[in-house]
Amino acid sequence: MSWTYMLSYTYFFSVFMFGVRPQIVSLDHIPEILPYEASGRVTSTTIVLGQPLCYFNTLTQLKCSQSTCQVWAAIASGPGINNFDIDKLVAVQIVSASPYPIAFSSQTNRMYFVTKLGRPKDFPCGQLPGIKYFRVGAEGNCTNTNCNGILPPGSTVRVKYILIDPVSRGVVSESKWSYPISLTSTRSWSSIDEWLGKRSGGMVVITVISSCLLAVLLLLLGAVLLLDGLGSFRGGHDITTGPGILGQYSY
Amino acid sequence: MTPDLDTKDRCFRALIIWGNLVIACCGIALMAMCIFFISDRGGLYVLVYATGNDSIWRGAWIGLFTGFALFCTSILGMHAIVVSKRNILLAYILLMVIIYAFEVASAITAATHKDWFVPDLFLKQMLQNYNKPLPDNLPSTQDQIYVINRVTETWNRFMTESKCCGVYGPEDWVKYESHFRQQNTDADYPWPRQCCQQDAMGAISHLDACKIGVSPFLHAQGCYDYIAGPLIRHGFGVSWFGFAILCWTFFVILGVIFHYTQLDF
Repeated sequence: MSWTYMLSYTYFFSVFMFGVRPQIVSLDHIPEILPYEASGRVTSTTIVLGQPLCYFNTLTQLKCSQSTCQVWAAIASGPGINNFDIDKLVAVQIVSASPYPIAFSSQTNRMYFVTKLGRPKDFPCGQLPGIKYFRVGAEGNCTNTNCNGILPPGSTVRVKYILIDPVSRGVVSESKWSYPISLTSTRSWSSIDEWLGKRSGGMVVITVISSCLLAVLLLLLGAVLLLDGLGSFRGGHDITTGPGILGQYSY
Repeated sequence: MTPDLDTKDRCFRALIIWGNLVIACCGIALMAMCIFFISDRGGLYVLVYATGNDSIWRGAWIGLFTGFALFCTSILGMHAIVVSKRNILLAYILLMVIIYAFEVASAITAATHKDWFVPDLFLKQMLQNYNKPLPDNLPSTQDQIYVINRVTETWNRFMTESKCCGVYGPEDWVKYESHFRQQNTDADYPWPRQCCQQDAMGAISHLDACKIGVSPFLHAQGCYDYIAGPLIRHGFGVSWFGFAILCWTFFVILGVIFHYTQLDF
């Protein structure tokens, strides 16, 4: 209650003092995910964006000069987009309107945070060597007001680059919001099905043929042993009548 | 009449002896091949052991012993044919059938287990075991500690030496829950540092590029081929060479049984 009151108070105060709303120069640039092939462009808590190259360099008649203005990024999720668009007009101290550590802690919080990148001259026009990127979430689990901390896992965020006047701490220029970027949601390992349920033809061939061959061999072995048993019985009988046979041979 | 029969008999015996000679050679070769696989030069055993089923190694062990047994028994067989004594021949046939049964087991085991090596098997196991915190209550968990330590070590070695990352690729570490993921943030450790390209001195060439996943500073290729390739060759060798020996041995044993039935008491 008092917060809203204070905001509207500062808003009316600024309107009263300067007679106009803060002038924000809107640009047509749309921040986008790094256009290079990279495995870590979007993870569950970070995004890699292209830098705001040549966004703010040609602007004139700003409240700050090229060397004093600061390039920041606003990262918002869900209602945070509207919250930022309201706050940039009414909150003079936009950089501290929504501190990072509590920004996403509940849906009723502001749901956005801003973090500093550098000065416009750090992002010049023209082709530059190397890959120029800005990684949202690069500072990990940090707790400063404007640190570049990790995003809520699996959320959908939009990003815009803004130019801030270090004296008034208000927004003087901004790009458009990026398209919504969905962070990956990590899957549990127990969801991995490690059994594809198919057998190779080679395995079937080997199993069937070698089992059949073994069965044939066992049958033959059984038959031989059986015949042997009979044969030795008959042979035993032959030995008793042996002299006759031997006699035949001797002839 | 008699000399003709004698010549036929001699030829038949020579044929069986030659068949046994081939079995002896194949037996020694099978044994050598199985020793090669069991020696596990790639250090893959622990990855298979951690899946809870190391049948392919059992297949190779059985193959090793049957290979040696085939070698010895076929020498006995040659002797038995030369002297043509019924009792020696019968002993040969019995031994050969027993060895045959074991060799069937070896070939089927290897062929069956070979089909199990799908990428998801290694993926799940990697996510479950890599950098898993060691269990506390010793000594009942010695085996788990062995598995966790060795799996982590083996993955680190593979990813460094083979210049690969994960099973399908580095995304495996980002897409799935894992102990590694629980312990590290996406921002700092999207994947283990072993996935990063190293220079000649073993230092990481470009850490920031590796973190955002720019090839060649990150090994973009998955390790599946380097892991499953040798295992599938192993299974292929033990099963198909074993199967070929089985087919050959079948006809030799048939011949010996025939010879045995032709002998007088």
